[in-house]
Amino acid sequence: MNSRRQFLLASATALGAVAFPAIARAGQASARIVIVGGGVGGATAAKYLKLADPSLRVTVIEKNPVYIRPYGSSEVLNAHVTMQDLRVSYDALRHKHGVAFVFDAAKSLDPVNKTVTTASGKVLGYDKLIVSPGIKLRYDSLPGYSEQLADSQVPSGWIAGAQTALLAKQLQSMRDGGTFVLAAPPNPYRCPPGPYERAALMTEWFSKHNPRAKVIIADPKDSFVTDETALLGWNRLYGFQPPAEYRTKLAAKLQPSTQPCALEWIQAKAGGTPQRLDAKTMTLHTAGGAIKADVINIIPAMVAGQIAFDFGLTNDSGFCPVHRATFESTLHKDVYVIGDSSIADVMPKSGFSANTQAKWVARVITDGLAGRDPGTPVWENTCYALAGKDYGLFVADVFKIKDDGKIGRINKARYLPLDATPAQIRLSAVYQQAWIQAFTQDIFA
Amino acid sequence: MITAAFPAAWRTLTLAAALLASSLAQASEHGKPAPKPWSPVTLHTALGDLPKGNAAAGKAVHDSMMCASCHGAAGNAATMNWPSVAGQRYDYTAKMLLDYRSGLRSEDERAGLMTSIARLMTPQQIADVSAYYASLPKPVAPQAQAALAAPLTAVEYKRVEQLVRKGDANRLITACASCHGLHGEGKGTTPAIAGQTTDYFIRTMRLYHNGERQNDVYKGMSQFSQRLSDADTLLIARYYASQGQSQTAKAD
Repeated sequence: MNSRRQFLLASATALGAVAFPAIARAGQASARIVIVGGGVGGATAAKYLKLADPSLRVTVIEKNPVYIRPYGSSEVLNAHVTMQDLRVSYDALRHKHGVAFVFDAAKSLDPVNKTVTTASGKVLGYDKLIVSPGIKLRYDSLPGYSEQLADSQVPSGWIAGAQTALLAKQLQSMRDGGTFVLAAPPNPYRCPPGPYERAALMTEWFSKHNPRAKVIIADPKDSFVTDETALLGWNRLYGFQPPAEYRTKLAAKLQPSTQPCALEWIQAKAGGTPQRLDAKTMTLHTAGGAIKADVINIIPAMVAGQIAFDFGLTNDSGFCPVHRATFESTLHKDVYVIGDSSIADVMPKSGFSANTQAKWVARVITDGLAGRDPGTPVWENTCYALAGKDYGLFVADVFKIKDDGKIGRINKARYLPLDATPAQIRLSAVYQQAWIQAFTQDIFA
Repeated sequence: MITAAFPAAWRTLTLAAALLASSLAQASEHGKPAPKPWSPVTLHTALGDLPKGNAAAGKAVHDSMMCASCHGAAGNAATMNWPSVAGQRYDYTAKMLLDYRSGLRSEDERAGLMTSIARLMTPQQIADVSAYYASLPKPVAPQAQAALAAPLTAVEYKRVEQLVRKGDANRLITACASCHGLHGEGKGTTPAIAGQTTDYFIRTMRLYHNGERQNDVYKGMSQFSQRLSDADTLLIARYYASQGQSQTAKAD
């Protein structure tokens, strides 16, 4: 075991040393990089900065001592994994990669003196600051909803944690033949296929454990990113009949069904837009009418994480404007905003995006410190999603800065083909599970 | 009497213990029988029983099974994490897919991924994709690797060439070339290794070294990997990585 680890370290060091020549600095101390947020974006940036230049002094400010991963967390609801499986340790970043951690809440930024102050009053100076605070859920965007209700009765579970566990408990103990309503969020939001995957996974779980149960998605939108392949999967697995506008394209592939489908998707144009929650009667009022439910899951509107607001990095959109080529804030110099909080045009708010942005920023910073040109960025994203436990689908994109100065897609094919073979569909689910493991290792191991 | 009976009883006990041990060894974690290792004869028969492979059909298998996501568009892995499969020997690829399918090759989570894939494949698809990879030219080192692998110094080259061509009699290490060929081109179920990605190469040697991978029929790699130092392995990995096609030879 020990020799194996030494071997790994030895080869990693030997290879790393060649890949990233040490940065020449004329007698000056190594740069201080402070990273606010130890999620996918922040943790990736920390690791890749240290891989690129082990002499950098990298400190992550994070309020939670253990990371609870949001990607794949809906699989707690259908009992495919446990809350324990979502927990990811920072130990490898700290002890193997030499990243310093301050477990505290970041409170304020002084961009002039280049310091960050934490809730307990610690002041950290930086040469470069990376801010990756994720999202803030706007519980108040739905009348009748609140954070307190989300913690106690009507969970959101869109930031994985106690609400995820609460929602799992509610769903798995829902009364026989009960109704589960999921209020989907308006754009833009974290994890675009996520709400639909969650509803599908619960439909599958109910079919085995509570076969008379119903699942209703109340949606303020008429479409979602992986809709065609997902709706086809729902048709095959649950007898779902897609809305009219999808039927032409999917027609030949759709299977007729005799039974009413346990899963219902109410688009905005069909009155799905959530308008008000009455928690007392467990009723979600939508534009089209009231839906009484046994379990309600509200995924509310989202903006940049609170820290981005506290640091003065947001604009009127509630997200953070950045220079596309570097992800440096347009509002504060030497401050980089990555992940869900940044405005990255067509790049989705996903863990994968945060990861690829973090790697790019690590390069921008190390090359910048060394006086090198980091070159032209290319980013990528893949969102895997499940229509059922063994029915995978995905959207995969490659991005570049286009002529209009915004980030755009450069690929043509994006999705699992509609005529995918059963093996490809099964494989996509295998890939989804493998991706969760590989992705977690890329960031945290 | 006693002295005569005791050894007999002892022999019986020993035999019983040996039987118990072997039956335990056969039982895998889920109570399913462990996959039966190949003998040279059973392997020969199994490979011979595969239908005839067709390279053009194998290209379609490569595409439809999404092999490119790890092994690259034309069997050239784009990163160092995965093996290149271009130019691989038909018998080796086919044997690996059979080994993944049976669980004989199950060294880590990556192998688990291949097991899922191999179990979705028909014997015809296994034969076809193996024929396809065998029809491709030897791999091109990934771009990231080309930047990373510093050319071997004269001293390093001398040392590694000794191992590759002559082996090391003092450590009972057979020359790599004696099985893998003078140019790392492989033969039969011995894989081609010229142009192989360094990380995959090093990981493979580590897995053999630790006994986590043991699907080599003749236990060659299992033994030699015990005697190679980490420094040797790194050198050999870099040597064979440099034996692939050069970047400039890559056809787009």
